Amino acid sequence: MPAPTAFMAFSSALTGFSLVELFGTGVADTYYDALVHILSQATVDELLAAYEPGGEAGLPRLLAHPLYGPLARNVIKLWYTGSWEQLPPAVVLRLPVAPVDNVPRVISAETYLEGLMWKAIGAHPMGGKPLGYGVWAEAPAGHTH
Amino acid sequence: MLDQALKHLHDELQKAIELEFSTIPPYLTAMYSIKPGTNQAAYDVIRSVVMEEMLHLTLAANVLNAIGGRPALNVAELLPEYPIKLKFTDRQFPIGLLKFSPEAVDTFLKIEMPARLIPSGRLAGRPDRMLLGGFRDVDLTGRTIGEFYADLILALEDACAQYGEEQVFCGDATRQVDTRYYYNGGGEALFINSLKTAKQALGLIVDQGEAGGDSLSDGDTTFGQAYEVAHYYRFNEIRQRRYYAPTDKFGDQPSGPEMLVDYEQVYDMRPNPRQQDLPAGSELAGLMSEFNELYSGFMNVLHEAFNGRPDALLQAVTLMFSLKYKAIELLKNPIPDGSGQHAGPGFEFVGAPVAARMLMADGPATAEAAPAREPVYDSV
Amino acid sequence: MHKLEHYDVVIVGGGIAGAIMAKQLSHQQQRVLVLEAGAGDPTLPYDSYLAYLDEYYRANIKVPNAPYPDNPNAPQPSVLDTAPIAPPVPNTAGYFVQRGPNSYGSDYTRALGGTTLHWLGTTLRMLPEDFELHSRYGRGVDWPISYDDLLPYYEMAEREIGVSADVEDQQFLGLHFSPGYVFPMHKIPQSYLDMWLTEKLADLQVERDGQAYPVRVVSTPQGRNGMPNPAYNNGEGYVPVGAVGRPDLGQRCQGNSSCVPICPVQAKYNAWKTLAAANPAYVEVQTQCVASRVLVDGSSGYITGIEYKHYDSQNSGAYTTHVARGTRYVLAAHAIENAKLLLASNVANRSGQVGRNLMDHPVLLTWALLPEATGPFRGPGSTSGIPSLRGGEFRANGAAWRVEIDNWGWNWPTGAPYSSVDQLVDGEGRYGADLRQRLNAIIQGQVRLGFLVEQLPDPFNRVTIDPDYMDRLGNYRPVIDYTITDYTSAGFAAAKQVSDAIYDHLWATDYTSYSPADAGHVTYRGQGYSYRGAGHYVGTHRMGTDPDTSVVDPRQRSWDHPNLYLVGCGNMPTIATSNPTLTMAALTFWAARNLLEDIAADKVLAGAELSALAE
Repeated sequence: MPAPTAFMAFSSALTGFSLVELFGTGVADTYYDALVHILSQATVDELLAAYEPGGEAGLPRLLAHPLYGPLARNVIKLWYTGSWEQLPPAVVLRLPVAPVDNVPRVISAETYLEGLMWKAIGAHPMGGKPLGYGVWAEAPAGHTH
Repeated sequence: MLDQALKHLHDELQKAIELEFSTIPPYLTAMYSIKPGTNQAAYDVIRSVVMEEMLHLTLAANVLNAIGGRPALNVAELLPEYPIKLKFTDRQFPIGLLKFSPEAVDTFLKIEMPARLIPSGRLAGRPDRMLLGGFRDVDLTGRTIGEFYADLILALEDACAQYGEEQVFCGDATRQVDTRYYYNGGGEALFINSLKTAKQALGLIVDQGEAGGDSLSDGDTTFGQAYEVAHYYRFNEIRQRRYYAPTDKFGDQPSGPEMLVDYEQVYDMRPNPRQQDLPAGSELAGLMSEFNELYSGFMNVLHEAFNGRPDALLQAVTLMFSLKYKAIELLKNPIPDGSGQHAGPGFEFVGAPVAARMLMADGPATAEAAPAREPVYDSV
Repeated sequence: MHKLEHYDVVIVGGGIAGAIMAKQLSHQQQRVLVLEAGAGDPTLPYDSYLAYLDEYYRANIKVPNAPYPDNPNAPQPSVLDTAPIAPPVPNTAGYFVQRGPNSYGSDYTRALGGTTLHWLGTTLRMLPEDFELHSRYGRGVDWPISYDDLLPYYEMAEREIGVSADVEDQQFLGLHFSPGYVFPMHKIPQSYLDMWLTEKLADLQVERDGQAYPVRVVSTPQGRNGMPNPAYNNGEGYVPVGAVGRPDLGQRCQGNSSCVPICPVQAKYNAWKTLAAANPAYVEVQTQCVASRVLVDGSSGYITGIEYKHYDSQNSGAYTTHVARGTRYVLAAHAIENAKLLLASNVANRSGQVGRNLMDHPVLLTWALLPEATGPFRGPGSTSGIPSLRGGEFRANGAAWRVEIDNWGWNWPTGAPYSSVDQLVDGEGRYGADLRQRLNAIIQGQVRLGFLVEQLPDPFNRVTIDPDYMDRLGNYRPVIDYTITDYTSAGFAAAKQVSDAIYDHLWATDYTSYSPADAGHVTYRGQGYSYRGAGHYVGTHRMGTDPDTSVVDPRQRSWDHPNLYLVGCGNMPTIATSNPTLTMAALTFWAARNLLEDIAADKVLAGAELSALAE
């Protein structure tokens, strides 16, 4: 299902990537669907509801929360790596998460290739989106001395 | 007069370059609008045609350079603004930047229409020409791409016969783009220094585009390569959702294996995307602007490559990768106006960016010239 | 399973060695059968390669074998199975039974194409002095052939693999080339990091055994497509070989930065290219056929057949047993698999050397943060190295090594950038723009060196078989005994000192850490070192001049069986400091030539017998 606006705003604040960059991955809906599947609609709604009143300014508090914090960090890692990381046992105890859904895994070949960490580090996913012959000989962009 | 003959040939070859180039953005747009992991066969078909168009562009430029011409690729007036009409013929139909769709495929078929399929063409009257059907509603009174090149070859032969081959092939050999710099393009970039090599190059363009004789094939039978037909037929495979079999003859519909085509698995791009149609100052407009800058940089580098710095082609290829990623990023973005339609690559030439100008002046690609490709990197 | 009752040559193994044999023999109209234990469609369809690529994308842990699914009927080792060993309890976690005391850290791939599917593509020649290790330094053994003997075969191997390199860069430590020789393609551009290091290390000297050595950064010859050299082959030039089934792809490296485990466009050589270039009228390739026994005629010593187990599906252990027969036989199954098969068949082992002298390049990794951004995670895994200390008098006392300069940050030692994301998000609580910027900053400074340390042939480092350890088809699992000797550890110690000197010189912050909990860990003179495997299995059926101490003769033929050739890295008497594939490929061309010579000699002989009869 299409990722709701609240999820996109939450994701943008968490990742440091703009909405256009997030949509530009083409996998926003995939991530939202995966979260709903793994955590349940109710938990995702609860997480977004916890974010919305404070917005970006409230993120430090949210990230310190014993339940929302680990969930939010998993959302960051989902966007950055394209993979689901196993939630810690303490969190799983409080959630209706099926163990089979909480295994670490790459969501799809496409999410692997769209992981934002590759963009953040000024590179490209290993094995995809190559920069072309010889580009590795050029100075990295954002080169700071 | 030799000068006049050369001038005519230069003009015609410049047209060839513009023609070859103008088909590339529409093909790329359709190709990039295909969602990842879907329509792989169609994607591969379009890609194979694009790579050959890039080869044709390079070959046309090599021929022009071989006869002392100066290919021009970074002049705003010469570059297409979509939708365009094929400039060099009197048959006119719009070529737009469209998402992968039946309309787009139909347009591609019209572009690559072989001579003998056109009622008024020179090869008209072949009894089997009507079998393919398709475009009888289009008034095609002009030359096909193949006919255009056939005329060009004749003109080259005339000039050589009249003024001597050495007078005609007077270009600087160091301006030739060879296989060191051109690669991955469905054929070899031929070194042109004679009528024979020029005819080889122009003949290859026609064969890949239209095929010759009763064959549907482009003649490339490299071991391990799938049976490959000429461009028109390749697009017809998508249209008919079926591959040609090696036994299929001219006039046959494809009878090979089925090709899966799903026009739903495509980003719903608004036709002919333009910078001015996006909300000014929006993030999306910014992305489009980055794309157009990159595209302009690409054209500048390509221009350099065909004007005495063949090694710049290496950088042009890397810019094509960046263009692709930027185009796909646009295509994945919904236009924030509630229409549900998506953005797409504009291919709008915005002049020579500073970085590209530096590159031209500075010689080989260096760390300092890298900003020409900066948009591909993180801008943080 | 196979089609003919009799072949001219039966080859076991469809990797690079088997493929070169098949190609060379088939083009001389020899009927060849290739038996491959692993999976793979013998028609080499491009889609089946894409399936490997998809497997890689979706693999949670992207180890070298990640794209190539484990196949219980032809199991393969995985680096994920390695662990510290506490003898006498072996580590039986994976395919190998590792008895230690040290862990053998390497994997290989059992599928059509073999480990070239995931090799890095480094194609260094051995140094001339490497062929004379014993005479020069009193260590190991000499080779029965010299660098100059092998030189024309190096050239054939460089053509087959498609090597990109510049001769000017490669003339060091006695390496020399035929007059006017150029490589098929110009060198692959060196990375920004390489050039940065070249400049920074230009004035650095290091000492070993009291002698000073420069730290020279040199481009590495690579089996990946670059810019063709028009001067190649006396001006004939070279046409790069693209992807099998899609020759328009992969004609030049695009910098996908995933050579290991898989080049998405096959710009990097793999053995499919050689198989595709064999003469199809004379080659039959059968996959899912695991050789289980070499049959021998007791009185004549001639090999009479290869018994193999064919399975229809990887999902079932059901199999049928067949025997392939030919006039001649070639074992090209891999250093471990060849040895296993010979031991299981009790053939070719008069010397008792089969399975012994197993070597690898234990790799000492060191990693640091540089004070500048150098753009890691772009381009081939490694485009340069530091070969200055590959040879020298110090080899009398300790192992030599070659330094590989890596272009992928801390990917190998720490799993970056994944680990960096975890560290910043979970460890430091970062998010948003700060996370993005910080991640960029730390990754951009990542540098990693790898010291590939040589091992000496040691009869107690070996693969054996044990009926207690069998795989699903009832074939033996390899049992490995492996010790890192002080000679190699001395190499570690020297490597770490040089690494320290380099990082110090660069004002880099060293993050290298070794833990006794690492699978490969040794202590030497009070210091701990952790090594990884390089995948360079060498030495298990070595060549030599004496049938009592070697398994094959200098022509690569079994001393014991006149119609049996062994090929692969198992034939190499020592490992020295170069990645072995190029040398192995050269030796295989040499073996193919010799085998064809045998065939020609037989024909002459048969002709002579016929004429004698006629008289």
